[in-house]
Amino acid sequence: MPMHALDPHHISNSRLRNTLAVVLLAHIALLWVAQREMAVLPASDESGQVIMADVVSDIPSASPTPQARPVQQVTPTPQPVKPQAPTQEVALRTDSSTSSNTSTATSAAPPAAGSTKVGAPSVIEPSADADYLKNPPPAYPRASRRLGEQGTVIVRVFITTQGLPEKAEVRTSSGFARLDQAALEAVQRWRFVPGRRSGTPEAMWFNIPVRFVLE
Amino acid sequence: MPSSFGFTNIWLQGDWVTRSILLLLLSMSLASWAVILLKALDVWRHKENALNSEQFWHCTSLVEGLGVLSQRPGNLFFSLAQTGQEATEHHQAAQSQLHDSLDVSDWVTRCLRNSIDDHTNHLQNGLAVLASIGSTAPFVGLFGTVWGIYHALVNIGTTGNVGMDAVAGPIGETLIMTALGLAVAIPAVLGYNALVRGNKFIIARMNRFAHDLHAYFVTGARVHRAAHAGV
Repeated sequence: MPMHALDPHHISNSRLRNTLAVVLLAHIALLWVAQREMAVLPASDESGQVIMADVVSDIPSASPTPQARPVQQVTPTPQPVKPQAPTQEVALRTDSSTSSNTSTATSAAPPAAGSTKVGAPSVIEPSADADYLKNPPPAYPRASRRLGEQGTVIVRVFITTQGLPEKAEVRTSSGFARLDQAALEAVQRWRFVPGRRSGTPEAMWFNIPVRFVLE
Repeated sequence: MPSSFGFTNIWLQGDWVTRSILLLLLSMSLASWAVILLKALDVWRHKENALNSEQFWHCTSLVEGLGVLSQRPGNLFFSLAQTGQEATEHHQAAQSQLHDSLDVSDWVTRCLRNSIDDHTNHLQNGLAVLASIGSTAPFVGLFGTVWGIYHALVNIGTTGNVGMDAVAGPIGETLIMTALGLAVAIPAVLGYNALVRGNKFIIARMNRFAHDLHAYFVTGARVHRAAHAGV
């Protein structure tokens, strides 16, 4: 008569081992699933201590002083020259200027620009980095942060005379769709100082590089 | 780049207390689930045996009945019937003189009662583990949370960083410990209750079977002998 028939409460070693193995595997699977679920939880978006998106506006144009809110009548300019080409070239340059840099350039740039383009109406680019605009940097997408995605997105925005972004599109991708999307969404919430031509506010296209850097 | 959330983060950023609490909770969970699985299989098997113990009474002889019961491995009811049979045989063999004899009813009752007590004891093996885990795991988790929050707050106090991100992140993370404690405790408590319920059913069936056996061994045996004498 086999042992287990005599002792109804005997637990064989193999059964014990199998059960433990099953339980252990189930735990590992559960923990793995839980870890993955927690990774996509949107609530802990705030847990990152550093907002690591960096907005760089490296257009060497003068940002208008805070008084430059356009309330005046917009006079349609006779020659609808879009100030697109120079902006792109500048924006695509790798950036080394910081905010202090641009502020020093504030005084120097406009006369220089004016002097080089003799005869052409002086064009002042729109800007997004004036302090009073309070433009929040884009939130670093969680998944991108986890995957270590970095890069610079150049967003092309059409800025109205009111300083509102009317249209926005990704001009140069960072290579990561998530970062592009985040930059696009952030930029569309921003306010801008409208660009001016010969002192008059004018709706124009503007390229904004948004740099995502992990620290 | 290390993930900045989840279990790995807690593990990586935790001190030895946090880590040992996590390990403790994990081992508690493993133990409770192992006990639940092993015992649930046992209880299920014993229940089947209990429901099939009726077949014993449809047999024409004790030997045949024991054969039927012993077909199922680890049958409590086979063990009971065997105990009853051994008790009767022992009683018959051991009485050298008529006045020596202990009342057969008392003797069989006693043997069956002992056997049931033994089995009841064995059935309750492991339940203490479940009960302990079910009642302590939430507190272990809570301890981990309190520990984590304490350190998070001390950190904030020393660095002077009182931003929402500095407060919410670490504290939110340590709450996972409480969640883990509950996740360990809830199955343990539910499993404990289910197993106790299953055991009650089995014990009730064993008692009923033992009463029937008692009647059979005390009276049935006599009937059997009378039938023999008649032939």
